[in-house]
Amino acid sequence: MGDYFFHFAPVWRELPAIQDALFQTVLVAVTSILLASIIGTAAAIASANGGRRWELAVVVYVETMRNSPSLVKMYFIFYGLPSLGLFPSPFWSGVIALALHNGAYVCEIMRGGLAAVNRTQAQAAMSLGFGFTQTQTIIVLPQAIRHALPPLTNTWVEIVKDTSLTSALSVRELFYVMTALVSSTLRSFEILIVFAAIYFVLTTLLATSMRVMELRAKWR
Amino acid sequence: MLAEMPNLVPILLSGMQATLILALSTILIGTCVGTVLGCLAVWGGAIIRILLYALVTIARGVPLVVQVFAVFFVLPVYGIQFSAMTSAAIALSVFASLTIMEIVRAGIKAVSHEQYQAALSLGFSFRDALMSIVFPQALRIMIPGLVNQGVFLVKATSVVSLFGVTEFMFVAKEQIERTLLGFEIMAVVWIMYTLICFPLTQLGRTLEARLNVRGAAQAAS
Repeated sequence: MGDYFFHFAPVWRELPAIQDALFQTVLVAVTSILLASIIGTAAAIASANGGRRWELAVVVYVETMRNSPSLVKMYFIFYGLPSLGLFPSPFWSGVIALALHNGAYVCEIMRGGLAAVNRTQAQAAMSLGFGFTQTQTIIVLPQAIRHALPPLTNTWVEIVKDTSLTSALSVRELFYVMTALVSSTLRSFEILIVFAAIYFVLTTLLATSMRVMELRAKWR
Repeated sequence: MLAEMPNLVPILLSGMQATLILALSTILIGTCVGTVLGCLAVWGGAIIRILLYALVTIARGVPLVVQVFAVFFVLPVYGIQFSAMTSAAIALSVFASLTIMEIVRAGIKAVSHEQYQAALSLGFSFRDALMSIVFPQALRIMIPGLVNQGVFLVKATSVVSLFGVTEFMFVAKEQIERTLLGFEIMAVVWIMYTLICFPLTQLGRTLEARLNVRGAAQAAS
């Protein structure tokens, strides 16, 4: 560090702005995680039960999503869709891109989780008079999610980190505010430390609480 | 659109070339440094192990953009000045080294300790035991993870476009601002990334199935 003097006061002065940014990041993350989980789970169920046509469609979806960066999808939605007369906001462009991109990963994970559930479970449920939706939501999914929880946690953490990319569309989340504060206060070290710590706490909190859930889920 | 194509394609291709160079150098440096770090994490003693564990935890818990930002804005404070491209390569290489270190470490750990002890008791030196007993088995477990990490790194290079490095995404955004052909350009970019990454993903998947050995599943995750 040499003769560098740490001076955190300018950072604390910006606390309200940091709070707003944190809120925005959490909002983007939670919405993306929810949407990605719904899309991925639906795709996995469709692939497992919908016959060859759905299986193929899901393969195409997964491969188009996971072979390019999520930024590509963000720019495609934000700069590309206006050509078709659609004008998504920066927030929704970012959220939908993150949801579609990570939905592919959730789909792969859930496919593994569904495969780990014994087929006889679904057959037994059907023979007891459960409908398809009931069988999936009450019998198969809860068991599949237990198997899928550890890798699912990794994908969710990945989403939280990727929310920082929405700053490229000028969503006012943590990274966007961080760069703005660096140029306005010029305390790059202090700001870097504070924001890196916020991100670290966010991801660690998510990962730890998911681990606790894993342990609490009753394993037979 | 069609009138712009002859101008656009060479520009986009040059952007892709920059991305490929960046990705390749990152993967190369990351694999070399990562392997050394992975060995250090296994045999380097408690202090080095804890230090490396702390570093990789930070690298995984903080977004890549923040890490790249750190290299871009903190190094100049020390008076170290690099071009944007070099800074980007350094930042990505650090991240790559730490994540590949974890793959190497898990691979070595997955080879049972008895194998190593048996080799020593048969008169192998430490180096020979590693080279002919531990590494060949560890490599088999590591390779799918390494290929998947390679794909991840190719995609991860796109984040340095946020710092004005003229790679694929940056060039694409520049051209969108110039021509306003957002839909067409991003579709082309999307397809080009897929053309690079799809064969690699398939390779990773095939290797995962082919080299599937006991313990491989845990090591790769």
